[in-house]
Order: sequence, then C-alpha cells, then structure tokens
Amino acid sequence: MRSETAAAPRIFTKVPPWHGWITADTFLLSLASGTFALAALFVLLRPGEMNAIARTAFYAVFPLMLADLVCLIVDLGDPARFHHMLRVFKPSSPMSVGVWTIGAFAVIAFLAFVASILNLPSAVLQIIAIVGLIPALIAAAYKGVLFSTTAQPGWRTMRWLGAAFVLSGISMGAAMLLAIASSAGDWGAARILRFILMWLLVLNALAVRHTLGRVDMAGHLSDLGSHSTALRVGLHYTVFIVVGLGLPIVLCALSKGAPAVDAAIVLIVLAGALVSRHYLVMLPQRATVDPA
Amino acid sequence: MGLLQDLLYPFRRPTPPAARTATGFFTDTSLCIGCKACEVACKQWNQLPSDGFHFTGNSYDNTRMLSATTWRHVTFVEQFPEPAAQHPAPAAVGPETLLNEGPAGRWLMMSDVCKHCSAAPCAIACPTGALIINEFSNVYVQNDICNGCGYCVAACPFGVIARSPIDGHAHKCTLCYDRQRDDMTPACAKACPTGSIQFGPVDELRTRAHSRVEELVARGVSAAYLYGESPTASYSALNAFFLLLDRPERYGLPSEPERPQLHLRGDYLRAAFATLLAIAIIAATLLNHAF
Repeated sequence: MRSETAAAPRIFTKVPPWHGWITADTFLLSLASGTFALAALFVLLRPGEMNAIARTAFYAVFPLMLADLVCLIVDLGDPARFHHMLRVFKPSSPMSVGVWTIGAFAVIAFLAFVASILNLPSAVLQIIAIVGLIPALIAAAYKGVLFSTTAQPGWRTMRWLGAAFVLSGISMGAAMLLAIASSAGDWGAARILRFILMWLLVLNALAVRHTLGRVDMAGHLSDLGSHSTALRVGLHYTVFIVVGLGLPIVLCALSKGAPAVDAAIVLIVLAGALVSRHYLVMLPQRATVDPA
Repeated sequence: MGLLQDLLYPFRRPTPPAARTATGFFTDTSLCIGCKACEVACKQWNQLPSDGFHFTGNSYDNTRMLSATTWRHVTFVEQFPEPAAQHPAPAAVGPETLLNEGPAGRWLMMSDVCKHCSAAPCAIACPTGALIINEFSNVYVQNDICNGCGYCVAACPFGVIARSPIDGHAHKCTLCYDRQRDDMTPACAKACPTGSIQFGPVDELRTRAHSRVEELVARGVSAAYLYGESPTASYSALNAFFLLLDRPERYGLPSEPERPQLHLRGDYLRAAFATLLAIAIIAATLLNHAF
C-alpha cells in the first residue's frame, strides 16, 4: 500500500474564467434570438394576423441584444480589445462563428427595431425576417456547441447541448410572444403560442435528457470527478426537467386561456432557462478532484 | 490619433517569418531531481512575478500548477509505504532486516510545461487569432492581440494556459521564442542540471527519447514509456513530450487526451436537426391552425 502526497487527479483542465456575465449573456442571447426567430416565422407564415405581435417582439429584440453585447464585452479580460474578435473568421472556432453571427444579428435586430418603430410596411418586415432568420437560429444554437466542444468536465460529454440551446431559445421566444399576446388580449394568438410552446418544451426536455445521457445520467456525468458530485448534478437537472419544463408543458396543455396561467407559464419558462443556464455555466467549477 | 491607432493596429498583417525546423522539449522524468532550476530560470528570463510563499501541503511543491505566471512547474509525487508498515516494531528491526528490505519508496518528479500540441485546441479555439503556431511549430500567444476571452482556457485538455488577473490576457510557455530566434536554448533547458529537460528539433528528440526508453528497459526499468511523442486516435502528437515511469494521471496528465473539436461537426448537425424539427412544428401549427 502506497501513500502519495498528491492524489492523482482525474480532472486536468483549468476552469475557464466565466461566471455571472456569461450566464446573463447566454440568457439574453437565447431570449433575443429565439424571440426574433419566432417573430420572423410569424411574419413570414401568418403575415396578416401576427404582425402586431411580431412588431412588438421586434421592439424588444434589439435592446436585449445591446444588453447581451455589454455582458460579452464586460466579461473579457481586456474589454477595450473586444474588436480583436473581428480580426479573423475561424469556422473551426464556435466563438469566432458566434461573434460574427451576433454581429450580423445585432445589425438585423437594429433594422427590425427601426422598421417596427417607423411602422414600415409588412413587406419590409418580411425581408428583414428572411435575412435575419438564419443568423438568429445560429445565434441561438452556437453557444451550446461552444460549451460542448471544450475540454471541460461536464460540458465535453454533452453532445446535444447545441440542440438543447436552440430549442430552449425558441421556447423562450415563444414564452415572450405569449406574454405579448396575452397582455394585448389576443387570445387566438395566445392559444396557438401555448400549443407551439408546449411542443417546443417537449422537444427541449428530450434534448436535455439526451444531453445528460440516455440511460445513466449520473454515469454519463462521471467525469465531474466524484460520483456524489455527478449524482447531485443529475438530481438538480432532473428537478429542472420536471419543474422547469414539465410544469409549463402541463400548464400549456390544460390552460383555458386565463392570463394568470399564461403569466405563470412565461415566468416558469424564463426562470427555468436562467437557472439552468447559470447551473450549466458553473458546471466545471462544481467538478471535484477524486483519487484515481 | 491614439484611439484610431489602437483600433486599427490589430488588423495589420505583417508577413509571417519563413517556417523553420520544428522544435520542442523532451522531458525525461527519470532524470529529474526536483531542483526547480527550470522554474526559476523560466520566471527570471520571462520576468514572471512570484506566486507568493504559500505552504501547499504537497511535498516540496510551492507553485501547485502551471498558471499565467508559472510556465514551468515541477510536480512532486511521493510514493512510499504507509508509515505503520514501514516501522513495524523497533525491537524486531535488526541489521539484516535493514539490509535486505527493498526500496522504501520513490519520488516521481516531472517538470511540466505547455505541450505545444501539433494540432493545439487552444489555437484552434482562439477567436482573435492571438494564439498562433509560429515558425518553430510552437504554440505562441501574441500578447498584443489576446483580449482575454478565456476560450483557450476551456479548450486545453492539459490545463496549461490561464488568464492572468494582472493584465487579463492569456499566458503560457512561449518555448522561449525570443531566445530561439537568437539561436539560444530555452531558459529551462539551459538551466536543467541533469539533462531532464532536453531541447532541440522534434524529430531528433523523438529518436533520442526512444533510445532512452530502450536503455532504461534494458536496465530493468520496464515501466518507462513515452507520453505524447506520437499521435493517438483522439489527439495530435505533442512537441513537448515526456518519458514517464508511472501512469500519466500520477503526474497530472490525462491518460487519453481528446481534442475537443473532434465533435464539432456532429454537435452542429444535431443542433441543425433540432432547429429543423422546431421550425417544422411551428410552421405546421401556423399553417394549420385557425385564429
């Protein structure tokens, strides 16, 4: 039996210096891009009935994007050098892809904002929607791929994280539009949005489940270092799936259109998205070193 | 004018130097005596600040790990029998017992450093182009370009590169780029008194390393092997590789490092699949439901 001064670690990586600002970034970017994507689909597929809701959504997207950009810049080690990101475009780097996509999306979000304020014709909104849809969807998805293609414990095994991010982003967008429709008294639109939101949340739950492993959630997260840490993380994510996704799915299915229920659905979806993102961003910091 | 200069400067692209022979380190841990001359030489040459005087509780290790200000780190691993087994009962110990007992244990010591991976995940991930492969095939951080995004820190499977709290930029071993340009040996290799850290053209180092393993095995050190000198299914070869005497984990190295970008295409495709599924649901709902 040998004793060693240092237990052989199973975790060899350094924790990236990402904390609250990145949580806020992932939340704001998902909300902005998901809201834009859904509003763009509404403008393109049901231009008549949904224009008012889509215009209101476009008001919100640009301020959300501005706030997101502030979070991203403040989080840098040297914020005065934020423009250095634009020196190169590297398809091999999800962060580089994301920066260019966010840049393009921010410009489109500004145009949508202006078009909504000036009440420009629907045709203009439709052009903006066509141009902005793909950047919005990439912006919603890339952050998940950015995390999953690192060497960090927890993140590195999450093969469906990009899928979970894009579904979560569009779900948040649906919740945002539901809030707008419900507060505007547009019950027809609210009914359709609840239906869309319900199925998006079902898909999101499946993606989160796949992200964490098909069979053994704790086992799949075993590279978090200790089994107890993995079990704890698995338990927390189970609670998130049940409360953050399951509860709004049930509410969407059973709702008769009461504004209070809509408000509850919106709050649970957005709060769940915020909490789960913070948990995800901090996941490598929860990893513990265990004797091999 | 100053602001404009700051804005435009990073976009200038001078002609890169012509490629030269790939260089690297071969660290032979069987020769390391844990003197830390490499750590000191590295800090001195690169003008890196002290990490402070802290008691780590881990053998003679006082810098703990590679960091933005420690680019060489000597790992100490003490492998000794449990104290109770080592000293059973004083009365029973005689001269014969002492003479015949096997080795009491051993020290494992290794001077750790950036691995200068052939396909470096940090350089692939870097969104500013601050991390480059220089003319010596070494991974180099351009400090005037890095903006401290931290993605390289997340990408490195060895936990080498780190963001400095002092200037907010990422730092790591440069393989003494400035010295190499003047045909000088990197400071750590120059200072190493036992030849544990060897510097030179990577091909030569590999040949030398294989000979050394053969020599050690012939002497009865059958556990000796090379770590990182050749690529694996999931990771590229390292230009700074090691001769080890125990499992990589004992030295703080992953046994099977994996290049994070291996999954990039699949992860994007899964995200695209989910996106199309979501759009299909939304489109079907919008086109089929009456308001």
